[in-house]
Amino acid sequence: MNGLPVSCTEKTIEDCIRKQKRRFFRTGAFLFCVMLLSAALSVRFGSAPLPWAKIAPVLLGRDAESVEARIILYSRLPRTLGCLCCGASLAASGAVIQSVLENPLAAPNLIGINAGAGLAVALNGALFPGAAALTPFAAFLGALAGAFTVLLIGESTGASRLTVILSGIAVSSAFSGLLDLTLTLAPDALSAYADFRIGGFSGVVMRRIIPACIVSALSLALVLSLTPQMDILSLGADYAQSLGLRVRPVRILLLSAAAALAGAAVSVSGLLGFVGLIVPHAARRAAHGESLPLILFSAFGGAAFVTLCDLFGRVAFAPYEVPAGVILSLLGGPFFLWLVLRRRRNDYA
Amino acid sequence: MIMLELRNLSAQYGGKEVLKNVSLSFRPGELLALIGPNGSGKSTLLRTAAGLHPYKDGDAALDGVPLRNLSRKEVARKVAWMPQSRNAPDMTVWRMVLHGRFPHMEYPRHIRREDRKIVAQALEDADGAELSERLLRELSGGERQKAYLATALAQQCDTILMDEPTAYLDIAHQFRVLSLAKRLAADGKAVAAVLHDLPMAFQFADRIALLRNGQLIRAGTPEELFAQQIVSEVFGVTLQRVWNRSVWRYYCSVDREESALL
Repeated sequence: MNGLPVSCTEKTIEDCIRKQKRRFFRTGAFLFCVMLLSAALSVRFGSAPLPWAKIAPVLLGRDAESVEARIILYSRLPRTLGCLCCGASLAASGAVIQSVLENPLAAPNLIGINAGAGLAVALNGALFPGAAALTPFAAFLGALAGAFTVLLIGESTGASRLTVILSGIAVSSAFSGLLDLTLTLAPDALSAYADFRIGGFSGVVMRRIIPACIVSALSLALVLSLTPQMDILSLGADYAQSLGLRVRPVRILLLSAAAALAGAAVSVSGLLGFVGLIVPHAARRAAHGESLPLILFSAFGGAAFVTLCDLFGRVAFAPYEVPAGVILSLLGGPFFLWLVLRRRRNDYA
Repeated sequence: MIMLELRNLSAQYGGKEVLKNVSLSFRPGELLALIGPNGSGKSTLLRTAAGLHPYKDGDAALDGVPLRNLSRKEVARKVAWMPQSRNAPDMTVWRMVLHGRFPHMEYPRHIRREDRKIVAQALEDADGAELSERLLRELSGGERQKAYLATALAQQCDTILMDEPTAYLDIAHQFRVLSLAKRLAADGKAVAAVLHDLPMAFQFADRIALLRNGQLIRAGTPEELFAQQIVSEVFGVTLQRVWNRSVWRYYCSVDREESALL
């Protein structure tokens, strides 16, 4: 500071806005490219690497018959799309939940999604042992049921962020008790549940992905349309209300969209931990408290991250295939620890 | 000029009555200080007047229209509220101040030239022009208060309610904030502030409202309240004043018996 009075004019603010927009656009474009690149790599590599020259005609629809075409159309492409959809959905969902609950350690599992989906999958395995095809459907419904139970309890007690978190813990605990009970009484349900619990993309087929993609796209559109309200909400509930925001409905709408996003993701991949926690955190640093870039960066970054983790699990331990869920947990644990320790240091500083 | 008024207002908090039959008006051109012991209902009174806390009986009304008949946005265009706890969300100061325009923005919330102008002016008026590109969480308490003040100014309300605007501030910044509040009142706005520092309240305010146990004990000019010695009774301290440089300077002291107890 040179001690001279600094003036602030309409032009200053305009410059600030323009500078920020440019920076957001650059980061967004970069992440988008990373996402496309990871998708391309995911189609290219695997147990049998395919040359680019063979991939291009398949993607352009000129080759549907060759062996390579079959690998791409029935295995690599659905798998890649599944990774992109799940990664984007989980990360965006986590970003919304963290913002709305003003809790940096929140993730989709905090509002009962994992517990609900897990219980539904186990129940499905116990009641209809032959109907493994129903698993994604059960997972989606279970996730929504879990989340809405949490929201309903949280809402009836005022929808403050604390009551939502507390009811999330209570509902998750009750659901996991029911899950254990189901697995004890019907041990056959365990096999369906075990794959679901680890989370991964082996055997993902197009049929299973399309509905999830549609739900995700719609929910993401809803969230993006509510980003100005999310920005205001980030100032604190009371203050947001004093600025004219109807806090309660906005909060519930956003959390519902987050539940649908995460529900769509678990219906495809099972429980993938830590994506909804890690990615929004990294994105938040680049988004400077703005929700629109936060959601977009999270979605692009999450899609790229999950795709790369899945690819790593497929390639690094060949001929074994390690589920993406395992890779994510291996990376997620240390990151979480680093996050908590770093926060504590800052708090004491 | 629109006036905010409380008429026989009662409000509850957790089943307990925290405001009882309060009637008070926030007059344009006036700095109103709300004083009272801890838990006397000052903050709840401001929150209720800003439409943030539901009321049970009576009314809080803007020009005769009860707040509950107005939408949140309509209230937010007329009454600005500054919270006591000043969070530091992860954003720049100009962005925060721009959020003050939220109640005035209609879908699709395009930022107009007029909005940018108002934000720039608000930053100037709050003495925070040089802070515009800084991050909120990197600011000192006094600087952060300027950002919050600028946000309230960008809201362009006729009534500004400040919940302990001098809390966490050093003495120079306390004076600065109250001088600005006084200036806003002189410009014709109705400004109300919860204050704990009695001498400051008496020195700066045009009118003082004294609360105890959720009841409005007295409202009047500092002169009137001083003459009635009511403050001493409520707070258990002695308020005194000396004539210095052509104004009354107020100070508090504890009675001798009281100090023996301490």
